[in-house]
Amino acid sequence: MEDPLKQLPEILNNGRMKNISFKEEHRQKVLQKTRELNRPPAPKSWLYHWFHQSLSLALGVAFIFIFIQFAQSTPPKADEQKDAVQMVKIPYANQAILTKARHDMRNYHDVTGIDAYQKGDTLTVHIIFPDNLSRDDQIDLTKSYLKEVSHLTMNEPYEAQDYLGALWNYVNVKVYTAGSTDDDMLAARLQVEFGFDSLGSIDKKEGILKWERISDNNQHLKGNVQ
Amino acid sequence: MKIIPKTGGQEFFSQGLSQEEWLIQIMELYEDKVIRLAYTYVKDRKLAEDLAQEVFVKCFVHKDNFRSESSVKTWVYAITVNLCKDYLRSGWKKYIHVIDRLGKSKQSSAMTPELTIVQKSEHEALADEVLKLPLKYREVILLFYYKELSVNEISQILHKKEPTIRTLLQRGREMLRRKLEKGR
Repeated sequence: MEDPLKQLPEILNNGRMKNISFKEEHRQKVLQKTRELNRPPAPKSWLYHWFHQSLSLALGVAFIFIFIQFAQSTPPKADEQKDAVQMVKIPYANQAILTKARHDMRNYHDVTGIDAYQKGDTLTVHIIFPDNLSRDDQIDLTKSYLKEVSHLTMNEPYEAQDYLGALWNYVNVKVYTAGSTDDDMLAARLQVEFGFDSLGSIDKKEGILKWERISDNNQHLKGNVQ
Repeated sequence: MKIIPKTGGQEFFSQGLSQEEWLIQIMELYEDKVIRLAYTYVKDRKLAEDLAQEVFVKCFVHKDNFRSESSVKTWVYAITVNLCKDYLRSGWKKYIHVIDRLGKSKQSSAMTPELTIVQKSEHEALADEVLKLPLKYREVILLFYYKELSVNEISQILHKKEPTIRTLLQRGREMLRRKLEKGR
């Protein structure tokens, strides 16, 4: 039996494809399209050129302005940059000690805020007390804090510290009084009603923190914390 | 008018014709073949006309891409097939297809499918069933039987291996046979 599909060209060409043909108008359309493709682009109007040049000029001026602004902005001073880098790079062990001491002081003593930071091998501490605290109490609390730091520092095994940076050799303590606040960052902006600086050193071998008040001339005190 | 070979190869492109003359001759040779091939894909006369025009524009634009590995006929058919498939894949086609189906569903209520089939001749039924085949079988059947291309030429046009084409042909024929037997 003959394959009916072999008749398909005849069936389709004499059937539904009979009226489907490519007419002259289609041919002309194709030629028209191809001529358009080959045609060189029409010259741009003066308005286009004016707009294009104005835009280019405006962008150029804006770029130069931004560049000048950028060049004029002063780079941060080298010292400030160095301080910032050092403050960020507090060794892990020292940071842990500071956190623990601050936590203990806030929980077990009446201290509003403690802000401590390290620069080189020197620890600087700002303690903010509530304003109703007597000065003697403030000094006692400062001793407690120094003692806490001292104990924590002594307990830290030094072998483990090799790669974590140097521990503090000196302790500078600045004490401020202020109203009650939970925000440690306010310390930098608070007015100092009265204050005293302590300069101390930690004897790592003996486990002793020695400290000396170097301001507040009325009471020039010395002390040891063990 | 200059005569060009019907199954021209590279020599077809090096006869010293101007670009427009070349295009006119290509159109004279393949215009009806292309439009009818396009129709088998899109099943719409107007669309087939538009697509055929696009095919010749593409031939003109990509004239330099022609490689003498295949015949001009295969090259033109491949462009037609690709363009039609691109159209069928496009979102616009899907939109038109939905509108078309909605329109047809309203029209079909006047005549039952059974009555429609009875009124058609066997030849019309065959053509109908071929055009209703899924695209992958339909295109192979039509290129083989309607365009009378060899399996090798079809494999070049569709970028498929020859055994794949043979399998698709076989399955298409089987599917068609079952449908025609069912319709009797």
